[in-house]
Amino acid sequence: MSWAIPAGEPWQWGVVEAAAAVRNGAVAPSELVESVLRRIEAVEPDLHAFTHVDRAGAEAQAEALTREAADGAWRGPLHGVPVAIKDIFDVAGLPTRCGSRLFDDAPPAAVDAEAVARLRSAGAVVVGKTATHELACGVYTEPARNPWDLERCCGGSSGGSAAAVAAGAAAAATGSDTGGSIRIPAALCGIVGVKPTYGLVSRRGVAALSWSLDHVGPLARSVEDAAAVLEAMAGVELRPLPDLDLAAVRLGVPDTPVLTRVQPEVRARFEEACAALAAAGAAVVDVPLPELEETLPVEFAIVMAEAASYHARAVRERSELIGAGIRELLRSGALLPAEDYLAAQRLRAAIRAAVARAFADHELDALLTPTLPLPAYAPTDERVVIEGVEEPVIEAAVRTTAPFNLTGLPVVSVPSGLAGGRLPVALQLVGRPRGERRLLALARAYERLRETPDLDAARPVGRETLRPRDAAVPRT
Amino acid sequence: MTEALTPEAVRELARARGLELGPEEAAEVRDRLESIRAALEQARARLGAEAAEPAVEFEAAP
Repeated sequence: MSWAIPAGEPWQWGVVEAAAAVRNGAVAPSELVESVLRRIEAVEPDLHAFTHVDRAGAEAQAEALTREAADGAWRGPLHGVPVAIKDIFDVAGLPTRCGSRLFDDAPPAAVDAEAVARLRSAGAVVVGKTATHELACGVYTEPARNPWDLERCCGGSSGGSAAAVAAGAAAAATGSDTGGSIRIPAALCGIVGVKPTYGLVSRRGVAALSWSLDHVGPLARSVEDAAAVLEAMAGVELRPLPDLDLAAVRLGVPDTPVLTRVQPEVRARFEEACAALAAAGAAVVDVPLPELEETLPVEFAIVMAEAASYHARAVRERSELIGAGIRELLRSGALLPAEDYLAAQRLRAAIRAAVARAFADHELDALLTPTLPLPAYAPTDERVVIEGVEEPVIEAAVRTTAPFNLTGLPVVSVPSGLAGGRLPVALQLVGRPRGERRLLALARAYERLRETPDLDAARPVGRETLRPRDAAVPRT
Repeated sequence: MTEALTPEAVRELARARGLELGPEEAAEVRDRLESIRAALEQARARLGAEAAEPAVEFEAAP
């Protein structure tokens, strides 16, 4: 075990580094948490990542953990590590507002969501709740901003979580993912996001958007950190991650426009990632998966119907408190014929079977795709042109991620470099059901291969403060 | 079935479910429902998903 103090300020430390520093006595939980709280105060005026910073609660938790550490009593592997919680998860003593005026008067939650309770029992300290796109249904998360460029969005719906982690305002955070809501903001903010296998992490105490598509998972600044947090949230053993022999790994690249129609620099970073993995010995093969072209109507029909059911009373009685776009979606969902909802679920089953066949027929360990077809967009960008095709930003953002909500397969999004020299883009690795340990090991292997001096040098977590960028970047 | 729905029929259906829609909203909802149904029908034709059952389950962990 190393007794060295990690480089930089405590707020810059990752989950594993910070936990080790606490365990080694290099820093007390109260010092670590105070450093992160000060970082939040420094960046939050520009970032707007939090809906509530729980300074008093975090200090009290940290003091208790500091006393326990002095007595040699350790709650778990995250003892003293500061985390942020997306504001659709219940946190005892705080209201759950879901980014919606519907919940302006929500009372404090009585108990923690299961995932939050598990994080606390592993020793994590909750520093606050992070902004979500309204009702966890969207990809902008206004007014939160992207710490790489404060004129751009941090994505959504777990946008506040991604912005906070990328800026060093938390070592890790929780997110939820119905069509990409962990992976989209993680990719746009240059951090790691994990959507585990459907059901691996409990959704108890987490507001639903679409029950059969909702996944709960972590966001962190490295694969190892994300694995540590997922391990605690899920109550499964993932670490130590195995060192994979990449020569024994087969990776499939789906050859279908819904995944391959991406901006040129996104494609360049993706091809570099595939080439790096192939050069390290992995077999990288093209896989035909035309079934994924049908993703969007299937995803949208299921989300509309299930969200309308979950929010039925609010839609009937207080719809004026719901934003116009989501209100129309919910009203449409309320009137969607059961026949169409079931048609979507049957198509989903066909898509899931096709992906399972691809894994089996090609003996794949994982699929590789770009996480998103584009880097961070502006809050005012409603439509985007990619490869000559104009589409709504929401559709561009979810068409590469939603296929794996339909299949329920585990996915890790890992930064793969920069577009325009300054905006992060990411690689998406899709694994077999319940194959998180091997998938995370593969993602870490890629992370180690990645040649990204530009990415590391540009990380917001290395900056003292955040500033709007001066140079204009071509709009997507 | 949505094929025969007019905006007024959508308003009636909505009213029966406790929702009040204006004429423009009803037209938007009708368009969205028809668009989704058309896309699902195309997808069903391409995938031949008649045999699929609407279940969500996974095999045992490897």
